[in-house]
Amino acid sequence: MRSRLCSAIAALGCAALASPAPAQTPRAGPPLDSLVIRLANMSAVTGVEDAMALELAAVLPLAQTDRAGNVVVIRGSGEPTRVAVCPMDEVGYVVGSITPEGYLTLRRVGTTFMGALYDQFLEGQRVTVFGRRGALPGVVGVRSVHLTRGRPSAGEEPFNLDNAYVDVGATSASAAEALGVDLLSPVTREKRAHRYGTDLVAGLDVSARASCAALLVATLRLSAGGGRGTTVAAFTRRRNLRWDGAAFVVMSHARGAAAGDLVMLGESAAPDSLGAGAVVATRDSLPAAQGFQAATAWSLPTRYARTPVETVSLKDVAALADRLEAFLGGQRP
Amino acid sequence: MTHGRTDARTHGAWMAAALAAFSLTPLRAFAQQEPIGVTEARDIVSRLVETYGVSGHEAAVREAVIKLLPAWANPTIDSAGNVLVRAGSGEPLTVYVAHLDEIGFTVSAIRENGQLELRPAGGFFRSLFEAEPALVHTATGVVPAVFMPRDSVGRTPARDPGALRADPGTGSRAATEALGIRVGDAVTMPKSFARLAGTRATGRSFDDRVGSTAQLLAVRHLDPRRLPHAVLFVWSTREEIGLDGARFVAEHVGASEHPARVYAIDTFVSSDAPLEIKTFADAPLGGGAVVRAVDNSSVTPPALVDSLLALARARHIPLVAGTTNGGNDGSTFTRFGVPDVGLGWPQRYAHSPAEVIDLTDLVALADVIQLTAERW
Repeated sequence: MRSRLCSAIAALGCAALASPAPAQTPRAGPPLDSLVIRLANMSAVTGVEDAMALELAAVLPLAQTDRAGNVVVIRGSGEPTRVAVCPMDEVGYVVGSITPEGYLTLRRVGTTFMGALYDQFLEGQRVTVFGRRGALPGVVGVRSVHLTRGRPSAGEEPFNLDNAYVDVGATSASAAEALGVDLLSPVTREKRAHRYGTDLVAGLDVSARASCAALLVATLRLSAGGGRGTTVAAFTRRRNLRWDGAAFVVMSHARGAAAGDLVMLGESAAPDSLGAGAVVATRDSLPAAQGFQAATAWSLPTRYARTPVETVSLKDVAALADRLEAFLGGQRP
Repeated sequence: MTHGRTDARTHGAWMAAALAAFSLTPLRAFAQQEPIGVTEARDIVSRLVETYGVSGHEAAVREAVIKLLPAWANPTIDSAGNVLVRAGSGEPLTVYVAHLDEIGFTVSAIRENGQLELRPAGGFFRSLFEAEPALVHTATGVVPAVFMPRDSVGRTPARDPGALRADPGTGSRAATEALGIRVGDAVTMPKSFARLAGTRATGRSFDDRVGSTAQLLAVRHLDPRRLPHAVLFVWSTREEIGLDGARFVAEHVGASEHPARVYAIDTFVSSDAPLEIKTFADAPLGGGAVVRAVDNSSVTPPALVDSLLALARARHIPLVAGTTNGGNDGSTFTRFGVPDVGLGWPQRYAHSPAEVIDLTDLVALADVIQLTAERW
């Protein structure tokens, strides 16, 4: 792992550190805004988060991968135990079949309700197919508007997944397979986080990814031991399938945790305080059945949630990173 | 349980590792032998596709086209913003028209809260732009924004979002105007050219950057000294909002110079796609260029279609005839007695961010343009 990482750094010449975008965090430390963009540009379909998990494990010193596949960093020992959890995964798609003409059809993965238009946001847009031979660009087909003229309306129902045909340029099923595409290859919209306004970032699932970036930065900043007791930072799988990964972390590290010792990240808060540098703390959205009774959700104010332009403020992300650093360092939330 | 230690010195190193590791795996390179002409065609069309030019705001595309012309060309720009290149001499004149503009939006109003009301330029499904990144093209530069999702989905969600607005993230009209945004500015979605498998490619505004590219390739390849008659190549403005640029040329050239033919170089909207009805427009991608014999604006005289197909066949240039929907610039010439010969390439998903072509069809189209200029 270490040599792979060194190779990656050497190959890129650490060019990313010279990113023109300035760090938003008010103190010296990692370039949080670049990290937000990079995490937002990654894909991690629920249940097939392996690439994201590998990358996180490579980046975080002393990271472990637990039995549920979560990436976990544990520091210190004894009580109290403070746990912060951020989900890696997103509701996405896998290839459901390949037609004789070489088009890919899709099966949605993840049961979280993402709104009535989530699949429509695929129509006529670029996607990335993660095949055996690497990532492939493709597009989801749409009727040409010209050819609808003079014909009865195809209906005003939103576009649905049964009409999603991914075109990777293959002309037959065997040609698609030769590109490395298989049944179950993960597929997501092409990720291209978009900065606008003074400190806003838009992208699919950007609220969760920005929260994970904040946790990553807080973990990297934290000195050994931090405060008294044990700290656990966990990047979890399958949030969109009954919070499976987070439940395993809670069972392993936070069973019987006192109120305030378990922080869940990655949910979206109302946008009212967007850009105010505040984090919204709530408890009502967490599934108690999974053992999250002691948990508090720390959420970023989010505009246009669950759309491809879901928006957060980098100022708020910086505030979340600071707050997480303080929490993991021993301060009570 | 493990214990770790980091300090200020290691933060930078780990962050370097973080940023390197988070770089996406490079998309697979489609390395293979390419048919003749594809590399040059891809180079030019990718440059034009990645240049923005909503109808009425074509300046950047116009400049890009002019830069790509050969040294012998002496382009002029008329008062409608069209680019004109004349070559050869003698009668009869033939005219080729490809358009510079693309679909998009213009700002119709700026609200008190800083949001932009948008007016569509051209025909397309508004849903394809809903909740997507946006770029506002101002006099002082490009300002990023987002196309806003609809305010409410409602009990019975519909595909169409209704009128779209853009949010530049400012919060007030004054702050929006301070970014240089004004009523009338063009608004687009970010776009890029991407290779698909084989010789397929995707991008937005292939309509009509592919036509503009084909015309450029033909001009670059032909020898103007060998042309048997005068030829006028036009890269026109405002096709998507009413064929305005071409109409201006037609009114000035059609009546006075009596062209023998006008060739409209534009998309053949193909039904070679999984959601289309294939009762017509079924020209397959990779099958060559297409004579757009019948569309909503013109009918090419059958004798001309037959003659052109025979000529291409004799030269082993793949060319088929078909019928599709849409209008074309050449139709503005017909009232001056000029036959309109539509030429195109098969294209999927027209007027969407995901248009798909086969680059070999673009090469064939350029060859047909050159052939007709030199031999027909």
